[in-house]
Amino acid sequence: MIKSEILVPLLNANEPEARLVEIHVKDRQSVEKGLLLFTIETTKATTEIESPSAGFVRLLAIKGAMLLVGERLAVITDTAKEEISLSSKGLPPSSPVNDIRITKPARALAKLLGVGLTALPHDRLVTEEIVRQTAAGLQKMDLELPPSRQPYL
Amino acid sequence: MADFVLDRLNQALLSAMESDGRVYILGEDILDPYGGAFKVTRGLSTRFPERVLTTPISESAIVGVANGMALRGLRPVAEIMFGDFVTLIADQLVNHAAKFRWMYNDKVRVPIVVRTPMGGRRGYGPTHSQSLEKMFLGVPGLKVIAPNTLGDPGELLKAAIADDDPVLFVEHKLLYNRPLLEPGQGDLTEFELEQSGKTYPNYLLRIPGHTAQLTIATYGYNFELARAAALDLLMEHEIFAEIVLFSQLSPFDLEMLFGSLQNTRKLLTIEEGTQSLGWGAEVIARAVERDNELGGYRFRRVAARNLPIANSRMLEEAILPSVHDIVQSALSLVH
Repeated sequence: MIKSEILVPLLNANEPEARLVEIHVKDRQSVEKGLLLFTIETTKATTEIESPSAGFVRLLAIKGAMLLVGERLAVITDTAKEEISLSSKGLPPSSPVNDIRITKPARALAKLLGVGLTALPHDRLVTEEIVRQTAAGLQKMDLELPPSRQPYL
Repeated sequence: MADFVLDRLNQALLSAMESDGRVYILGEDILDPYGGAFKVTRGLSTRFPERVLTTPISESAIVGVANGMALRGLRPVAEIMFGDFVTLIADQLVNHAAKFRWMYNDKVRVPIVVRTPMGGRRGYGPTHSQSLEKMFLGVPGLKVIAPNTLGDPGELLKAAIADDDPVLFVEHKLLYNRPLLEPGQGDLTEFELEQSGKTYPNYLLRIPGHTAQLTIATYGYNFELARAAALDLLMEHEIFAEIVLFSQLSPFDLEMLFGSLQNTRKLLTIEEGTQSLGWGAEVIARAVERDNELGGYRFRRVAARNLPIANSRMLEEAILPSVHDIVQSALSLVH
């Protein structure tokens, strides 16, 4: 169970963010109330953040990250291993590497021409031109001609 | 973890002080533990207590003293806490630092660097948010340089310190906590880069394999907006833009821009200072003068509205150029 959340505090009315400059604990470490957890910094000052309660600290941000006021730095849980389902900010996004990169007009054209996204190349940006070439290649395949391997330029 | 602009600038100052005993730093509140309003000078006074000089609140005195130090062989770096205060140093820069070399027929040089944070979007109000660098563009003898997230801001600052002539080094305050970009990664995935091989390099970003439809010219923090706009134009509209990113604002060095413009014939300039008589106006004037025999060119400027920056955050946002403004202006140029 999450006992407490540790959020980025507002240190300066003019600054909506702060940088996490130091993490003084390890993920899942057992902590006492008052233990120094983080040092955060705005352009005006650095501030130390202590644990608000005893428990196990679960880190949700990485050293050096620029975080908005109110974002979670960590939560304190009852046990070291329990699941926590929170979106962590400041951590690198976990988007799949093989996501297709396709422009909006190209996506619309692919739909119009009945070209599935799986038929389009995943190693480069897909433009309308590539969709047209892929569609032409697919038609050739229908006629049992070998698919062109270099149709995209 | 990525490097941040702030760290590179701080390291560059440290490295310049380590390698050259003539480098001094002057400014308000720059001593540790405070380390300067934006922390660019943090650690320097601890390391070199005799060469980091805290000053009274008198900007013209800071630059005046720096000029004197430079004339006698030192390499001072002056920090002006907010770029808005450059009006107070205009006399020392324009009438003294920039001219001495000419007045004394090259017998003296004035190798000073004046670093200052410019720019808004922080809600700091009308007197701590401006981009006043345009007032110093075209001053003979004075270089105006602006770092960005693509080049190495530290190398740029070191080049300015090594420069034998005065440099106004304009740091947009939102850049400090920005990570440096890595070619081929993140926002740069779709772009290939070209760099002009100069002391203060300019950059061309193009989307390979496609004919660009317009050129976007910008510098400093506004490259962040220009890049977001170029990606929006690409992904939402399939419009291919080239970006020419300047490190050197003045003297004007436009060859790379002219190369791009020759192909696209459409130029959009982006800056955060007010539009009238700004950087973009001069860039466009020079482009027109160079090629005014040729028809079919189109130009637009995106800049701050001709108003003081408001105290209200919402009004500030309305006054300063946005990604949306850039995209809309680009669409109107292309269509």
